[in-house]
Amino acid sequence: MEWGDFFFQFLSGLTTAMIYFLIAAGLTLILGVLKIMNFAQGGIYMLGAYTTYTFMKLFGGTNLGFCMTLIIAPIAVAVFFTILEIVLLRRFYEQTALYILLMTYGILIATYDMARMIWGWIIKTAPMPPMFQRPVEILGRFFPLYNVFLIFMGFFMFFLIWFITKRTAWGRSMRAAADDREMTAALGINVPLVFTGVFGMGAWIAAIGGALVAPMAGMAADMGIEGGIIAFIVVVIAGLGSLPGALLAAFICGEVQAFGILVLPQFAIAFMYLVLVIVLIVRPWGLFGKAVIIK
Amino acid sequence: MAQKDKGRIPITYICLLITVFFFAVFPVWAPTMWKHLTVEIFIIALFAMSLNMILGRGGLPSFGHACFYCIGAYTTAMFVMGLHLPLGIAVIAAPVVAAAFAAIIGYFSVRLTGIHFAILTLGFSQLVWAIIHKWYGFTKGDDGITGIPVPAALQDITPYYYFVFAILIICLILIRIIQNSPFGTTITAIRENRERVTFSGLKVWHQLWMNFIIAGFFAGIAGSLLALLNRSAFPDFGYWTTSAGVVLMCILGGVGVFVGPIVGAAIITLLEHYISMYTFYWQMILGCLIIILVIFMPGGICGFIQDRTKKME
Repeated sequence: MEWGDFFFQFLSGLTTAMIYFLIAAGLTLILGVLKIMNFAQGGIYMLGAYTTYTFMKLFGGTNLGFCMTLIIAPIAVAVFFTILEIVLLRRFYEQTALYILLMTYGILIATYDMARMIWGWIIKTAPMPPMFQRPVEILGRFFPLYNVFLIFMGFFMFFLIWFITKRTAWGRSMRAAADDREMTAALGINVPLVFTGVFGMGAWIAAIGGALVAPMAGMAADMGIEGGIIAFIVVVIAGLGSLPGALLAAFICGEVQAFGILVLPQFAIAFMYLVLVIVLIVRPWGLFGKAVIIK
Repeated sequence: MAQKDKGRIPITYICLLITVFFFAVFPVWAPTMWKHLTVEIFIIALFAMSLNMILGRGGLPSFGHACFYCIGAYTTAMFVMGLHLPLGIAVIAAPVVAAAFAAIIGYFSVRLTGIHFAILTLGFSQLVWAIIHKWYGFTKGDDGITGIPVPAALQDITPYYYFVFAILIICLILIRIIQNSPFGTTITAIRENRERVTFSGLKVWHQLWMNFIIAGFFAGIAGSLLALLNRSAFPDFGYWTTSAGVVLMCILGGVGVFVGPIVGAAIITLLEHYISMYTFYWQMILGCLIIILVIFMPGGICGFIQDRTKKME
């Protein structure tokens, strides 16, 4: 294999990795702070893609329309799920993990059928904005410009989330609430509000992932269930609640798939699960997580 | 308290006898479709009961239990179709292979609790699913294995009904015995207070591991019976939505009550069968049902009834 081919494959793996990262980053944030497993994350990703489709149709598929969609659609989805959090999830945080798991699973399958009811059973594709309808030449190979944009957006979102959690006052109260809820509440911080904010932000990030994937691939309601499981794999490999871990794990998953296709095409997905199980056996708490083993 | 118990036991037994008698004479008058549906409920009920050993008794939320169900189905299917062994051996091998897998997965999983346990079991079950789904040379991939030959004695639905019914009753008695044994009470004790059991000198994870293997064993039986009912095995038996579905059945019925998972399995299977006749959007209704259930009846239907009868007394 030539270097050009190798690099091309690497870039397409990186594109996949960035989508995985965006679905997983929201989940890792929710897991890290709220300590709940959100199965609905895949549903948020799917709804992000579908609302993008609707808004793009509304704005007529222009460059400006795409930019506006990228801002409006994820916020709309995030608001919807924030309301769900306030109405349904909030009251179960203090109880056993099982109820939240079931509740978010219920939300996932309800959104799955909701999407099929609203957008139908046929695979939909959002129009590619005109400014991205040309390839760029990298090492003599032609690579879609949109994929370059997607990789850029992935890194941009990583730094944005990192900045919000580490460098702002709100991020500080978020991390404090993750460490010790009672103490944070005693310091006069409204913990339920922080939690709702984190959930909304997690939903927003996943919805951006969905919005970015919309012009690139066909969308069906199944992508919610698949997206949910991919987010889950990435987060588990990363270690619950670790943002750099999520980026690294998404990168590993994306590249393993991209190069796995060249070696054993039919096992491309299984490779990802293999990475998952190796990590689970060697470090059950993930690459960047804290040890939780009980003897 | 002892007086009350003495008075109540006969009522429970009478109810039990009536139920068993009802299902024993059920095939005499019921149409074929109902018999088929009832056999399906029996199988899923056994599957849910096996999960409840981990979920209700052990207090560990397993989200990968369908893995053993699927392995049970595939063991039976592959022993008959691939190795051309007699069906008897294939049926007996299914729970053994499932238990062997449970031993491997349980070894790593039972040392964790809560959400970490859920994630680890889910991860392992998805790996098994991915291998079955993709390995065309070995498991025929997502085409599944179809056309399993069933001996003439079990080909009709009525004999098969009695076959499954007998196995279900034997398994339920076994599960009951295990749960009431010192081992079973230890598992409950671990759920209630892990630290204290550790202090009493027991290896907690060892007990939980045994429990996990036994649960995998019974799930393997259920999977094998399902493969014989459908005469086929598909990778989706082991997909994570199946695992989540059976967790839902346990919670709906009530994890704290012995027959809870059976009630939950019957309700969900019947609802799915009848609602999907009228609408394509069965999942929407199921999703809303889950949400309502978790909010208003966290103890499940049987737990709810138990609470009410206690209050009445």
